[in-house]
Amino acid sequence: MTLLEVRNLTVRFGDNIVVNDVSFDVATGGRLGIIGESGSGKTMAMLAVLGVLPSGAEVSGSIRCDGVELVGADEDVRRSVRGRTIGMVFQEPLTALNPLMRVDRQIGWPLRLHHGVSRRDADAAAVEWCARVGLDEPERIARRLPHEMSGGQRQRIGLAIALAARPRLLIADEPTTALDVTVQDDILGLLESLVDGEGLSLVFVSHDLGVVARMARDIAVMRLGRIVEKRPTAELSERAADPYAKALIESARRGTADLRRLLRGES
Amino acid sequence: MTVLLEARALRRVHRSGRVALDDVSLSVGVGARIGIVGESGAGKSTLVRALLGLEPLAAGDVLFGGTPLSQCDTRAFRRAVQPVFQDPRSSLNPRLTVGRIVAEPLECLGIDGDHALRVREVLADVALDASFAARYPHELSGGQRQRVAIARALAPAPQILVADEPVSALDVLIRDEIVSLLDDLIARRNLALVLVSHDLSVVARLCTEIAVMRDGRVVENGPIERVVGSPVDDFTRRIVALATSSSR
Amino acid sequence: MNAISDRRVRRDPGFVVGAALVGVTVATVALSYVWTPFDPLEIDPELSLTGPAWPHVLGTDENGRDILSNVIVGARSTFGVAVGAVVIGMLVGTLIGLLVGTASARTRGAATFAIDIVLALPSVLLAIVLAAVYEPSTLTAIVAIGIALAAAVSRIVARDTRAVLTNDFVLAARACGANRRRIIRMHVLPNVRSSLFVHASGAAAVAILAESTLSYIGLGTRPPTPSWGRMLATSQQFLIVEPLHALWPGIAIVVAVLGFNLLGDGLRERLDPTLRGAA
Repeated sequence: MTLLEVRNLTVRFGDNIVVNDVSFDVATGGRLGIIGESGSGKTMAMLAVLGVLPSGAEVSGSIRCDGVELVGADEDVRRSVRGRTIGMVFQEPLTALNPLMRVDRQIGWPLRLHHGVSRRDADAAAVEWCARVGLDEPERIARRLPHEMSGGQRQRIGLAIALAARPRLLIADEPTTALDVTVQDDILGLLESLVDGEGLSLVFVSHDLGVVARMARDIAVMRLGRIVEKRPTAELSERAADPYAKALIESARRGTADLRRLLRGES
Repeated sequence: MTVLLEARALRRVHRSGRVALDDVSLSVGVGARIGIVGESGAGKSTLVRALLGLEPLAAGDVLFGGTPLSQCDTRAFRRAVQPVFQDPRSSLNPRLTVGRIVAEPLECLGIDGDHALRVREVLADVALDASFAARYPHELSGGQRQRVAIARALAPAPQILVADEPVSALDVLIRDEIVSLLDDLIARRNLALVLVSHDLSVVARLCTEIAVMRDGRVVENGPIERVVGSPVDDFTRRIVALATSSSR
Repeated sequence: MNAISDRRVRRDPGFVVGAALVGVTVATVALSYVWTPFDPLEIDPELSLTGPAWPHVLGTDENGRDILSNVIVGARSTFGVAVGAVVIGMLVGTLIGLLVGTASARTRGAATFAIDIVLALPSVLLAIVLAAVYEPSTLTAIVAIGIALAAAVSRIVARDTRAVLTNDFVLAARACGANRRRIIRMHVLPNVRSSLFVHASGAAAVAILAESTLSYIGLGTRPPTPSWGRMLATSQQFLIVEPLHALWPGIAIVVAVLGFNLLGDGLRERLDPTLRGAA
């Protein structure tokens, strides 16, 4: 069953085409990785799916989520999809969280919005989520404000917010790029267990091939708004045809090879 | 081995009380290639600024040619030790042309000779056409801007390059280009290199020694094969494991 | 995330309107030297306090002076004081701001404290103090407002300066041995320059309002030199007889102040995105 079906998606700002004829599917339980550099259009494509593009954007093509067409749909339709069916985690936890709102209120908000949960129940559920995303002393943290926490903690909260209303698809846009390597590993591990535990579908967007390869079963490589390569992860390194995709793979391979050589004790 | 630049037991404490550097020592010899790795807040950038003589120290000393910075010939020191910074957006003055940016060390340090000629020379060294001298930073790509930053550092013919995350803000493929460029330049001019990076694979490519920093201290250092191959410290072990596990 | 803020900068009508209003004010000042319907100082006791009628299009004041002519010439003193005060405020304020911004933390702390004290004093108070020592006049008004502006401008410029100093290119300059003067000249000033125009516009608006206030309470331009603020004050006495007389100087002040405010906002709109986008 295809949860998300994107066909010929094009996003432009006047003459500037940022997403160019992009098509991909995400099956229920599927894990799609999207790799691209800055300017590849990967983030814009995700914003288009969520219907939160900046003003001035013209969208054409089709985005079907759970059978419902989102392009050209009413804001009501899109709003019901956001948070309830699709959750999103962003790169910069500091700016993605409301600095003036307590953590539990932010996590509880999607629950109250989409499932009409009372404030008390939402607050309680928020504490549970804080525990679920691996935060120590969840009751205490739930009452805090975002700026009182570390980047890793904030990103965990971001995950909690995205998942609170129990969406079926999680879009993660560079969720670990702004974090230290050790924290990155922890967050990715958490993401994996949550996705498995909740039975979610995942779209993981990043510029880091290694990270995407870890998280996704299928990979799409984007460049200048287009998808230039789309393959199962396992086949990517052998079967990649597009020169840009091949260059990316080669670059990652060389990086790891340099390190491996050291491990073997060669200079 | 002649020691060009040395940090001895550096201690830097912020007004807030936070300890940025704690008993940090480092020795840069001719042709040395030292990588400094660690997480954010470990003190890497503070160490870079200290090596450049731009950080007030609570204790310890930085010595150039055996002489503490406070007593040595500042001009000679600054000619010999030049920085390359991370963010191509903030490392070049948007109001100046590339030519003036690259010529700045020559002007400030009172270096004789035809500045315009020297600017063209170093631009060529970083594979930028002479026409770039008239352009402004916002007209250039991230990779080109970083090349300009490197050219600026090379202009006074330094002996040591201190690079703080020089490729972290660049796209992956451009990163490789700049790393190759640095590798080539350093080898050709027999420069010493102090490279700060959170990316172990970049350090592996460019450096022969490595120092691992955490919370303002150096927790492990030595030849890179030894530190990466058989790390002693737990933190080092974890970083190495993570770097080598993300594979394709 | 950086690609997202790709908003199109909408044409700002405020800038155009502001420029037009400022243009009208400046044109009025120019006009005042060339021609006015009547001699603003000419008294005509028989025509005291008349309403709008030909030939006195806006009416006459209690001494029979033509109001329109007084409004036109009044622009001179208002504008003159404003320009003088802004020049003082911008020159002194920018200089102090640059020095404070590039000073050590301790010096900055002391300097900011001192500036805050000056800022806390309204220009009116400064003008009163000056007027008490010297005779109240156009000059005391200019100096008083100028000092108040300088304090405000220095704070903003100091903040802008510190923002520029956080950039790595300043660090690179210091690593080349650049001294403070060079850093201010080559790196801070060029990056702060365009925002100075914005600050100047805002300062002009404040200065005009301040001058009008001072004239209103009698500490500005001395009679009989026409001044909007004083016209406002005297028209108050005759509100019952001729309420319209208060309107004209009031409108003049609003036009001038609004014009500079809109101009400043419009300039900021145009200049800031370019600066950010230049990255």
